[in-house]
Amino acid sequence: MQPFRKIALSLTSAAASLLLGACNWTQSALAPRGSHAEAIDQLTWILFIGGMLIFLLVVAFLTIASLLRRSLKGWMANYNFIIGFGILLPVATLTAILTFSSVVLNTIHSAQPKMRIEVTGEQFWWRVHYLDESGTIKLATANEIRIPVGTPVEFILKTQDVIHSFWVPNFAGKLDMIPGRVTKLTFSATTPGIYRGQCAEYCGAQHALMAFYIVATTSREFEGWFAQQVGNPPEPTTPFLARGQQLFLSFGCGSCHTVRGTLADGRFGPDLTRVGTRLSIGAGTFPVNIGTLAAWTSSAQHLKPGNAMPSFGNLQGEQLRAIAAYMESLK
Amino acid sequence: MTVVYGRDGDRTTKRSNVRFPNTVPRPQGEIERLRVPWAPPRGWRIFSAVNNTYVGLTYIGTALIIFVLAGVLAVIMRTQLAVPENTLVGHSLYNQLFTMHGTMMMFLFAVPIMEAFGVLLLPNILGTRELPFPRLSAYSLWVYAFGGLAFFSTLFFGVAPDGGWFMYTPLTDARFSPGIKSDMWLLGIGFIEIAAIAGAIEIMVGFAKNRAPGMTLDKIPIFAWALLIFALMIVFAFPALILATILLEIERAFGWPFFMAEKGGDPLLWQHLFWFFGHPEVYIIFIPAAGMVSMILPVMAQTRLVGHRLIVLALIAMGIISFGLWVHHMFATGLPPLSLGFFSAASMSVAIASGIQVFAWIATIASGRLRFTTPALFIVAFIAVFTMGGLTGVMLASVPFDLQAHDTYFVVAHFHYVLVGGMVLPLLAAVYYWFPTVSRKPLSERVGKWVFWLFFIGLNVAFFPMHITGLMGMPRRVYTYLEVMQWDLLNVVSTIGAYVMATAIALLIFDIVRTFRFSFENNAGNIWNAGTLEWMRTYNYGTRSIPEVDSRYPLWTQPQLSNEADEGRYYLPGTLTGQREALVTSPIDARPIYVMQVPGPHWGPFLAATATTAFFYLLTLKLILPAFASGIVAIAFILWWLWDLDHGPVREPAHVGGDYVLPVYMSGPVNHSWWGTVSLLLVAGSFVICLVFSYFFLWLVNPAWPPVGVTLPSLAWPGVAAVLYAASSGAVLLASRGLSAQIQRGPWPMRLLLMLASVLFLAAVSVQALAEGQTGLRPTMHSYGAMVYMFVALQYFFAGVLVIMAGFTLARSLAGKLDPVRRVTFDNTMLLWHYATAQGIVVLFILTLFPRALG
Amino acid sequence: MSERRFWSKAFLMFGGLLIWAAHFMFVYSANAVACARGFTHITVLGVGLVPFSVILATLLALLATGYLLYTALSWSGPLRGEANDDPASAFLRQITIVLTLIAMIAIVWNALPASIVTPCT
Repeated sequence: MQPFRKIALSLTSAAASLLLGACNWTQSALAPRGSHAEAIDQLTWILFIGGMLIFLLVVAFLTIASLLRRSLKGWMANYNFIIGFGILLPVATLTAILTFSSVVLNTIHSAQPKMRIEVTGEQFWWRVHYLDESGTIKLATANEIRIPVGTPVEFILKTQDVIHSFWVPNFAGKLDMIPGRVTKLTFSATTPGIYRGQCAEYCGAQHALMAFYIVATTSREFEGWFAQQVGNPPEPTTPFLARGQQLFLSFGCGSCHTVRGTLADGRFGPDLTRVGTRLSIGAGTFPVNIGTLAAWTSSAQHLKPGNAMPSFGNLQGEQLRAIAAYMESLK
Repeated sequence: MTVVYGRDGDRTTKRSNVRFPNTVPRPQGEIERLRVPWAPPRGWRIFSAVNNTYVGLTYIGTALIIFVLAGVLAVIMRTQLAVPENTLVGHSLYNQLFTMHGTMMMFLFAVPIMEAFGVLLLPNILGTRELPFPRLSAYSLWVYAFGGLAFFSTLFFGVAPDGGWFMYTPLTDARFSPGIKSDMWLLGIGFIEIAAIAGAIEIMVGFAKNRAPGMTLDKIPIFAWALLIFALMIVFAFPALILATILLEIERAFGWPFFMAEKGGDPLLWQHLFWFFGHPEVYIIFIPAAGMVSMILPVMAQTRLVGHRLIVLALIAMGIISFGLWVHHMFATGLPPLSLGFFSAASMSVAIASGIQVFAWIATIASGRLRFTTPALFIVAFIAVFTMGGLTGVMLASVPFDLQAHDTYFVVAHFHYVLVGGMVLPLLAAVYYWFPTVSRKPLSERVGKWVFWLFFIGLNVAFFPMHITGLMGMPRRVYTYLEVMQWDLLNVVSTIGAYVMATAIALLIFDIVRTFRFSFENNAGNIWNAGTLEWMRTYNYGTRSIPEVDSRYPLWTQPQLSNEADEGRYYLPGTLTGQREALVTSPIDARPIYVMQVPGPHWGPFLAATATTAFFYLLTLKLILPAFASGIVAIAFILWWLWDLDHGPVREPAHVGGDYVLPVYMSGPVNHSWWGTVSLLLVAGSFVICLVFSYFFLWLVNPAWPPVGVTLPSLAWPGVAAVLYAASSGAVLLASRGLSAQIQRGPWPMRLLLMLASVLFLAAVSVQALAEGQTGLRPTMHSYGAMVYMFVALQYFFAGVLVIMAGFTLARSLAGKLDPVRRVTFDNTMLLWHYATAQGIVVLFILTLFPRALG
Repeated sequence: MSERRFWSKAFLMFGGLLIWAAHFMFVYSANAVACARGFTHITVLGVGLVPFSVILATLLALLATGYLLYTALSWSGPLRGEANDDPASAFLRQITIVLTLIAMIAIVWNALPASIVTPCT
């Protein structure tokens, strides 16, 4: 199937570029960059081409039947026509489709994982724990995932509250996170890059703004990133940043958020230990810079009303800038 | 008799030596005596009308209003999504809008409008005067109208539900959806459940018992078959929804943990129950539309339908197979892969049924000469659009593909193609097609072409891009999207399409308003040259005499049928009892059996509907005492309208035509209300089977069943309860004998036995309840307790119903309206009784023996 | 056609699909229970418990529907028409034949994934 897979992939890119011109491919099933997505893409092309042919057949028949003379269409006006095209044709095509789909379904359930990441959906963000074989947490982070290309990663999916769904279209199909259950999805990335995933099961007020970035890198880059993430962040290097850290703690941010190496150890909200390295804040909503960090801190309820972070409107001016600068320095 | 072979190979018999059932001229005054009981109430009393034409038209009108209102909500949503990060509508309102749009379209438009067309047209299509239970239709209409419009109004009070039209738990439970919005949905669709089941019972019984003589099974028009299957599907699918809504409401209000994972419940139970209903629901919506197509297309092509039998069997196959597809809405929930594979296989099986119909329609067009009238345009477009939707459906039936497309705009595209393409297009064709039967003038063909092209183009422009939008990553139910995602072009194109569709509908409404002038005596007539009976000349009483048919297209093979019927040459050309009547025929041969006395106008249905609506809404607003008062008032009004019925044989059997001298009353299994009661028991049976499924499902997801710490009651308790149930049924059986022997023994044996039976039944349920209560089991601790008490609650519900029915039966007996011949009321009560005790005993078996068999 | 035969004829008409429904419920429940309670490691005749049950159920279902089809084709049993030109009987018979064939196809399709897809996660 390998040559066919390559054809399917290049067909996809060609058709997509042609039809859609400038588009964002970082959250698209039509730009497969992972093991599952590639298998599914192949299947999709078969289904699409088959469906297109049948549709054109039906339209052609409709046209002939409505517009042509009796002598040219009489062959259609009987039971055999109905049985041939209405029963025999569907039976043949659907048997093939069912067989092929079953094969792909089996394939995507047979990967052996080499890495484990537990993702817990919460209203409206993602708690991410890298686990070792025994299930202990090696690294706690939030709203962003990095994986090495070519390694099958098992995503252990849970939820803290309602049903969410974990979906990274470039890599794989989606899998729901259901209270009382643990679901598992194992796939590998095939191409490095920055991709985006989004919650795909309506989970309440801000379902629309519950997304995350997932970055696929080479194994070496991954090791480097991981090593940097697990340690404690650097201490503030300037007085301004130190003031930011002190304000961060005194305004109670630590009661919900963890920054390893400080007194902040709250588990209610996202881990902020390396928030400065992330691509987004607010679960995929805004890029990370001092401005957005400040805006999020002071007006989270205005930007994403109904999410669990309150607006700290009492923080103004210099205090707010200091806290934002401190968070941005957590790299 | 000569035998003639039709074009598609079926055989019809044609009477070459015509001899009519009745001789002409008819006696003086006969037609005036027929007119009197059928005259509609005048002025504002029209709200007490029960005639299927008035009820049907009002039903259709209400459904069309709701369609427009739900469509407006969609236009607002599309406007919000036209540009990224739009602030026209905030998240809170948007989440209500998509919930309301979906709920209204699926529950308050799609199913009711098909019922409405059934109410309006089925009697005429079958050649009878009226549906079997007209007051029930009227009640169903008003419950739907009041409930539906009140439901829509929740938007203006900020209490419209916002959990999505399928309301997944735990998002919609008391913890994550505090307040009354979710309750509005749950109790709000309660009345649509009532209306749908009431309509279904009518259609089933009407199909079986009220056809024109000679309309044997092979001659029944396709729309009637479609409605029968529609009705049967409602009977078996809606109970799952009723159960789910009751369970969720009880969980929200009382904390019984059916769906709470931390107490032994499971959110997937909601999904199973909902989708077991939800998948058949979409076929419930599609099948009548397909039936309409099969009626309209042959007329537009001026030829008989090719593949009539194949289409009938395709509809049956679709009806049954669609009950095995529901998990395809749950492919992404992490269920075992092979289980998903089974549902994938079944989902593909149903495509055969669609394929048969599509090619049968094409064969029909090929067999004739299609006239491109407005209805024909809608039908041709429907075939193409529905095929496209069906093909994306096959794609979604493939599990791996579905794992990408599920819950994205691809699915939104798919279901709009099959629902708007597969149901609305035929519906618009039907509006144009059947308009001349109820209006002085038909709708304008010129405006119709504009409506068609705008709607067709708009539909494709709106929904086609969504296939791509979904695969490009846009999930469903999002109130906005980020600019960086670059979905703006696709979205703004869809929005433009939506506006074009809206323009089409506005144009249609304009044409309807300026053209529609209600009349059926002076309607525009058979302008299409159709062949089926609804195109005969009709009056308040349907046709003057009930025709005898000998083909599938009676107006084509018997061109003088309307005139002959008008002259009174056929069956029942007058009234035997001076009241409204209809002919009851046998289910397969359509031979006349008896004359049923048809109920006339009454205020009971309208007032009961008002009280029922009040009951549901007061309950949602947590005004418990006023709610229960309304409930009692509703029941009182229903009993009031029922009191008027079951007349007994008011006269001796009389001649209706041909060799038939028929009684005007029959009791026992032949009686139409017996069939109605049996249909209701099928609904009840479905409901309890769903409850039993829920019990086994929760067992499967719990490691210990019953959970640790729960002791089972000793076997004596259920033993006693079972004996009491059996004794209760026994008492009713004896009461039945007592009724038969009333002349010799007097009425008191029956009355006393009925009272005894009520006491025994109540005792049985109470023993059941006590058995559980004394072990310390409580419904709020764990889902095991919740399930056990749910079964008990169900039996108490039946106890209430049985006590009311027993009381009503006793009242009739005391009033002298119940005797060995006139006993339909008693028989219906007895049927329900035996069912309830059998259910009680079976449930006792399961609850007692299953946990013991495990341990 | 005799009305007493009505119910037997009506049920035969969709009897094939009812057999399909029973087959479907059986295989789905069997897999669900086996996965939930961990029976899948059990093998029967060298085949896993679940695929074995599916094959058995499928054979039984095909036998049953085959018998139905034979009954309809040979116009025997309850489908024997009273008179040859009774159009309602012919109508029911033809529908029974095609519906039973469709049911057989659906039953085979149901069994197909069991030979390819792994039973549990």
